[in-house]
Amino acid sequence: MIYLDNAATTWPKPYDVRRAVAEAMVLYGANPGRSGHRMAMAAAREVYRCREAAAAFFSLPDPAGVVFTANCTAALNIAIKGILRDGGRAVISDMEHNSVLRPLHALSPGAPRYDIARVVPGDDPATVRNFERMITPETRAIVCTHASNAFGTVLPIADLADLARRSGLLMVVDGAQTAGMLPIDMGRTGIDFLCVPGHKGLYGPAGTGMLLCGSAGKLLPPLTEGGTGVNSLAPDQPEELPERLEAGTLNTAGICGLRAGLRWVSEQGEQAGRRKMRQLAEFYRMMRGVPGVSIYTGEPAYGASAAVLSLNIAGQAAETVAAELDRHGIAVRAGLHCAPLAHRHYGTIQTGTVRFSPSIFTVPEDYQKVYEIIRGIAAKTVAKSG
Amino acid sequence: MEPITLNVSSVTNAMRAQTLLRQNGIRTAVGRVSDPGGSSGCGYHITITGSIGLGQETPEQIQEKALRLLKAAEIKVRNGE
Repeated sequence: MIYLDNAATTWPKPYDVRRAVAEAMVLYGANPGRSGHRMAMAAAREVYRCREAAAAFFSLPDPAGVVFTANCTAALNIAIKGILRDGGRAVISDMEHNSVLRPLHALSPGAPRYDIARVVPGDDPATVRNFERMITPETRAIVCTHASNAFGTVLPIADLADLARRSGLLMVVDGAQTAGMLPIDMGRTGIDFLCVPGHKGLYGPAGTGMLLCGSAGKLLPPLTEGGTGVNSLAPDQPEELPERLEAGTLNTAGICGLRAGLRWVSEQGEQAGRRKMRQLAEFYRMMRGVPGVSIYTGEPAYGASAAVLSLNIAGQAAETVAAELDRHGIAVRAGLHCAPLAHRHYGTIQTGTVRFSPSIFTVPEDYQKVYEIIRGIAAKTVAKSG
Repeated sequence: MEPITLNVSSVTNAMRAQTLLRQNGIRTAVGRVSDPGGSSGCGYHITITGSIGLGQETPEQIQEKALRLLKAAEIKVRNGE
């Protein structure tokens, strides 16, 4: 199989990650942070080591600010619903995934409690000005994606974090498409809450995610209450992070795999990401040369776009193209990608798109095969309409 | 030296404390609090077992140093003050 659906989840996982998960199932099978026996303490130590690794990876000073979640969506829900629980509004971009839009929609049974700023691809100052125009006295936070999962458009999160700071707002970033792929420095940018999946660019297992909290984390109320292994006499959740936001049993084996993923990504270095983007850019140029293929964004480039490319073939439904690719052993995702705002931005809300998203394991030969099949589909469509 | 036990609530805080104290030459072990029905409830403790290269300090001085470091790092100690 040629797997080009890595924006959904990365596959395959590195050997080190698979081994870490398997080892954890045997060596660290107890519940960390509950009992005091040897295996429970060993499991707790492995979990803490992952907090340390994640804090170092994202330049967060305190490992206690690393809260493990099931995925990036869960992290965003904790942040968004915690910040706006008692009122207020958020400014979001017109590229947001439903993991940002739906929690805000759920908080808005009457009138929306969010304002949408238009992203201007390639013009960061204009994007920031658009965000600034949306800020009102009721605004409490800027909540935005670092990069569109459907089109790869990267937002200027450092500049937006600066805007948030100047405006007295909190800054929440959805790092689903950039964690592990573009550098995110919480210390330097002043991002208050960074939400990331463990299972995409960090190459960890599905079922892992993190909410990384800066100093504002102590203000965030829990979304879920329950057992934490601490202060069992007290009816309230413990005050301190991360346990306040981690009710219930953690995914220890997943977290061990996530730590292995963090290490593996660090070892690959920036050059692996740059190589991946160069190959995607070459694929972009190949696709541009196919009659009937529509692409909605500029050529992908490291730092300027995430590793996704969306396109359509004239006369073919996106899902039909994806199904044809699947028949040839190529895995992609078609449709709206849980990102209706982004599709509205690029004018594809009626059609959706076919999205290609490589990983570090993707090779040029994969793209060559895709190119041949896409060319065949497009040629058949042109012949039919001719 | 006689072990000194400090109750620090969660296992995360216990490990934060252990890392911090180790970086400052103080050896510790992490364990489970043995009096869950007490005022502190369930939780974890760190036990100071010795110091590295600080042979001249008394146990009281080591404890004081540990408490100072933990306070600066905002790691609450329930029974150390």
